[in-house]
Amino acid sequence: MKSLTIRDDNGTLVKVDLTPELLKEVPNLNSVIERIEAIRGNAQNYGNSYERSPGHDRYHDRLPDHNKNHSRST
Amino acid sequence: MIVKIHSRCNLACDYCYMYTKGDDDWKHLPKRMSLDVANDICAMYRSHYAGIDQSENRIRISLGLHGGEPLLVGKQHFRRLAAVFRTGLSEFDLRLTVQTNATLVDEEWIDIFNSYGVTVAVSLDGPANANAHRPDLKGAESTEKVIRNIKLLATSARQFGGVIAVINPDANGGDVVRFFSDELNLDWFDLLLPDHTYDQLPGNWDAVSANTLEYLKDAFDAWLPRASRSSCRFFESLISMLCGSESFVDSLGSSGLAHITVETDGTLEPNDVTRICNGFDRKTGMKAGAGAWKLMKSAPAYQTMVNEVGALSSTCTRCEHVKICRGGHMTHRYRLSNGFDNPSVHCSTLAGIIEHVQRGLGMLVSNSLNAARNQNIAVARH
Repeated sequence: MKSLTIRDDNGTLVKVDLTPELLKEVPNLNSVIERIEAIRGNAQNYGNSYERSPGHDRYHDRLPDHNKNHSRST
Repeated sequence: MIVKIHSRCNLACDYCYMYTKGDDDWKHLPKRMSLDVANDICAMYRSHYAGIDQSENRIRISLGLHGGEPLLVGKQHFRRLAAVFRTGLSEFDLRLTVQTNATLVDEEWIDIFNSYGVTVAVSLDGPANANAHRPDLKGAESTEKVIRNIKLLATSARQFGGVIAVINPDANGGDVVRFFSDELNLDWFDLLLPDHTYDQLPGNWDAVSANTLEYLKDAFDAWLPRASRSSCRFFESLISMLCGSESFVDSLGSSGLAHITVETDGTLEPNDVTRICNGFDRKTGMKAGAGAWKLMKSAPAYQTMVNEVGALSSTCTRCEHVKICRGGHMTHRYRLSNGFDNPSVHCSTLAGIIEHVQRGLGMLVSNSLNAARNQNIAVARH
């Protein structure tokens, strides 16, 4: 993912580039982006959409189909 | 696929989409799924993917074992069902998951989950005050027992997925996140918007809606500093959408039909949550079995669902947030008089939390860059 839309102090929408330099300075955001990209990559590898795998919705919505090594394959 | 292996529950959650929204189909269903129906599900998959070469990349199939409360099937029957799925779908990359309220979990259950490679996720709305809407059938609170069993799962289950919570508007979302992340040490949880249609809104809906938004704002503010160690699917889906990517939940950014559901008698339905949409005919008339998948997808109820997910109301298409929420969960747009041609009942909540997350991320980025800049200046001065 290349950019993220946020709001600045004035409430204006701003698109920021998700550069390695930026993510290095914002580790929490970096963790989230890494997880999202892992899920996307996994879905692509298996030809699944996120919504069809692992097939959960709502209260049971698409369970984290991962194991103890924190793989978040869906 | 959601596989309803038991149609009854041992909790009486007052918001449950299955038992409290006016649909009583469950009363006419077998209590538990038979092995024959489980075999029919396997046959459906095998016939659907027959002839596809899996030598290099096996097809992934995910079965989510649900209820009611799925563990009510009993240990022996659960073993048999899991064995049928493992054997009958052995040619595939099968993921078995179970969504349980965890009241019945014990060491023996965990051994079963481990033996059959079942990922376990638990339904819990938070600490006792947030979880108050989930009493047992006698009205006794269930929180303490569930928390004890979550800790057991966390230490003994090889594949413990995490916790899914339904938002309690009377609770503090920040407290719920801190409880999940700090006290239960969960590395994954999710927060779900309560299910309502326009025909069944609580009488004090404006206040409930405002409280729901406050819950989510507090939850996000508590989660963001903990995001490195705890994943929250709702917020990560929102951030994914803000990155121009996709959502992982139907309540936000839904772009298609999530799954199909198999009832305990083998009946196929497009989305079990549509049972809250009174007056909407969700029945496909199909049962699991060889060739059923293709037939089910051509059923009018399924086609209606597929078409309705993306057909947003004019209110939605004019809204600046539509690219993020995409109308929210389709069932939340339902009204008997005009179907799904409405914005979500949670529209103001969705808009509010989208803006809040955008601002929160803006502050995080800004503060982090300022801190780095100041540090660099300080280093340069030394």
